[in-house]
Amino acid sequence: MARREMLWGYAFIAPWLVGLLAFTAGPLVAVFYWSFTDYPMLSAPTWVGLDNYRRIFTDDDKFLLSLVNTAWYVGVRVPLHLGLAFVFALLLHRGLRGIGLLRTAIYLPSMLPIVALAVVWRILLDPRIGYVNYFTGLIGLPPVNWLTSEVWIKPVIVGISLWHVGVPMVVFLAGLGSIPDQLYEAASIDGAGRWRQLLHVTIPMLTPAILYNVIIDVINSFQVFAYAFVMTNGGPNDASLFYVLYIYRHAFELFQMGYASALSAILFVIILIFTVVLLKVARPWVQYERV
Amino acid sequence: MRHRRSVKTFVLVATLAVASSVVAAPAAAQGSRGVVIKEAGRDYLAHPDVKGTVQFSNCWGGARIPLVQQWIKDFTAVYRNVKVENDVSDCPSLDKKQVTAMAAGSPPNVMMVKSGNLAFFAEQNTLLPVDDLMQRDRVKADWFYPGEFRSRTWQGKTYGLPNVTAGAQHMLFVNTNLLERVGWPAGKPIQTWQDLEALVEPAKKQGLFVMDPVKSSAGIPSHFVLTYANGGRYWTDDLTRITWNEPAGVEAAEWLLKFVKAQGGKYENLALGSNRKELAYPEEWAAEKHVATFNGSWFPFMMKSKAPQIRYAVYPFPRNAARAESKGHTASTGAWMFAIPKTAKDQDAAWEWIKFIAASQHACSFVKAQNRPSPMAQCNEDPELTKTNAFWPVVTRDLSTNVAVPTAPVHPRMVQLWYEMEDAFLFERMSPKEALDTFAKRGQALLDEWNAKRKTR
Repeated sequence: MARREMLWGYAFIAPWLVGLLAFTAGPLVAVFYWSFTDYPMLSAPTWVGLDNYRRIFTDDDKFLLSLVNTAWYVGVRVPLHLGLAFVFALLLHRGLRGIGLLRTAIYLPSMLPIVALAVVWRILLDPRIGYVNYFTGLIGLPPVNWLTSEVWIKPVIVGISLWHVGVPMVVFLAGLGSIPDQLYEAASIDGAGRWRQLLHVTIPMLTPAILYNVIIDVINSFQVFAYAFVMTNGGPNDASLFYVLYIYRHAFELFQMGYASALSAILFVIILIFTVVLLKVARPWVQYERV
Repeated sequence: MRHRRSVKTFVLVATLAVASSVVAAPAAAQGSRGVVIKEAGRDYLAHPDVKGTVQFSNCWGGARIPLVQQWIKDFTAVYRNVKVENDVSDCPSLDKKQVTAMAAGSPPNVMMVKSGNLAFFAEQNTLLPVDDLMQRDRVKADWFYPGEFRSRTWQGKTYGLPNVTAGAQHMLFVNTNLLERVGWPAGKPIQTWQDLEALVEPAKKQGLFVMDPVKSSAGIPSHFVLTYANGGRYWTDDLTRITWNEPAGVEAAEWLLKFVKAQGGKYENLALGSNRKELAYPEEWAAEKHVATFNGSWFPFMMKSKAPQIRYAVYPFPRNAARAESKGHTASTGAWMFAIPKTAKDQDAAWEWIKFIAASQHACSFVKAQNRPSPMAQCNEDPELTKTNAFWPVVTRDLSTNVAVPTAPVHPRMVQLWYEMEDAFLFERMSPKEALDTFAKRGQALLDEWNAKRKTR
């Protein structure tokens, strides 16, 4: 009976399992294999051992540059993105009339394809005809070359990416909804005001959602690609050359799939390390509700 | 019995005779399984009975789509058993899409390929040589300009037919309204780098830039074009030695940096559009902040549809008046050609399509509609071209002086290196001489690596 149930279980997850093997595990194994080959895409891969990795760590100055650019983006974007999502969630966690509409309105930008967003912002940020400089000009600020300035390009990309605040906001909203009211009542009886309730009830109870959002956001932020690809192609002067764009360049512009695979494998390891460290570091401060 | 056998034999022989005469007559008229097409002194064979589907991978988008659709209409009127699927991509991503499709084993059967990338494809044995097909169907190499045809061959084999020319890709377009505003004498052409420099201060007074000199070519950096215009070369014709760090190249880099800084202090202040690997779009230039721009013979066709209100003049690529060897000759690593991947299906139909769009009179009408020069000399002799295009003499001048630069299979990696080199001195991480020397070593290493592999084969 138990064996039968197990078989039925496997049968039900089989489609997902096939998808995992075909579209995730299979390509992952292929990437790791190719990372040890010279693979110009139109000919068969040739085994070169650790040569790709040696070149990356000893000959490739853009490897470090792209990693630094990406680390900057992750370090700045994740706190801003999640901070904004948290603030929106707090503001929208009310039983007001029409709140559903507001939540939808704030979530809607998250539905926009990143490429479409990037194309529109490229026009808005044009130094000569874009609306951003037009409106900043109205308040007396000088025009800025947003997309051709090495100083401004990364902050601009971070700013644009904040449009997708809806997804973590929804996770926070779900977390807020699961906090028992009795905790707030008890805190209120003990004389805690709104601010202290936020610090000592809301945030601790929301820590699992915070941890989840941090991990997902870090993983996604490490893979930033479309904004730089559409708007600047990594410029100006490689200021927006992010790691995944660098991988793409090697794979599909230089047709060096072996080298690109080695870069991808390194990114996989970096993200894995970050995730494991985050999970370990989270143990003391994440509070899971005990029923 | 004997009689019956002889009648049977006669009927059999007679039937065979009639049948063979029915077959022989059209065969005698058609040559070897084809129909003779006679076009203005070019006789070749077509095979309208082929069947199949043509997947035409190209980047003739925007205003060119109706032209391609006319091609398809005219082709399918003759080739009734062939279907043509027009697969349009944007030009910068076309080769990526094609390489991915080839690697996946399902390539389109007609690919629009930049001849600069031909070596990359041909050396990996992925394209079908068409010499035998050309001979069978009497398509001759001498219908095309020699330089144009040669750039579509690799190691003695032909891999496709040229469509548009490699020449006339770098011409100087000048907004005549703005030129008047900055006080340039009416009718005086802009011919030299020094003329462009002379415009800087007058343009600044009007709140304008002269031009974004970094955008002078699509897919290759500006320094490449400037070096050849300055009388230099990027490498030797036998592809063994890098020469971009010789005096002509260093001078070109120094001038480029000086001209950028004179206009706006740094490049970000005068950039026309955010992606410097693309040429200026008509809409960008039509914002009328830059007096001039570099662009190719296709640009007027695009301007007509996107920014018809702009009045402009066209001049040849300027030369450096301070160097005697500088003639303003432009260089190109190639232009478009149509090729057939070796693993593609319906190759017969694919070849018929390529002949139709690259070797027949339909090739002429396509380039004529775009006011672009054709690689077939005959197409460019149409007197209508000079009547409808005031700048046609500039185009033909560029064609006659254009330098076709041979490329190696490491071309994609070499182009990447060029952009990094230009970045290095444009953003002043290194001096121009230092940048050219540093990257010359890396370029030489790439060439040496490829030449070594060549010798061991």
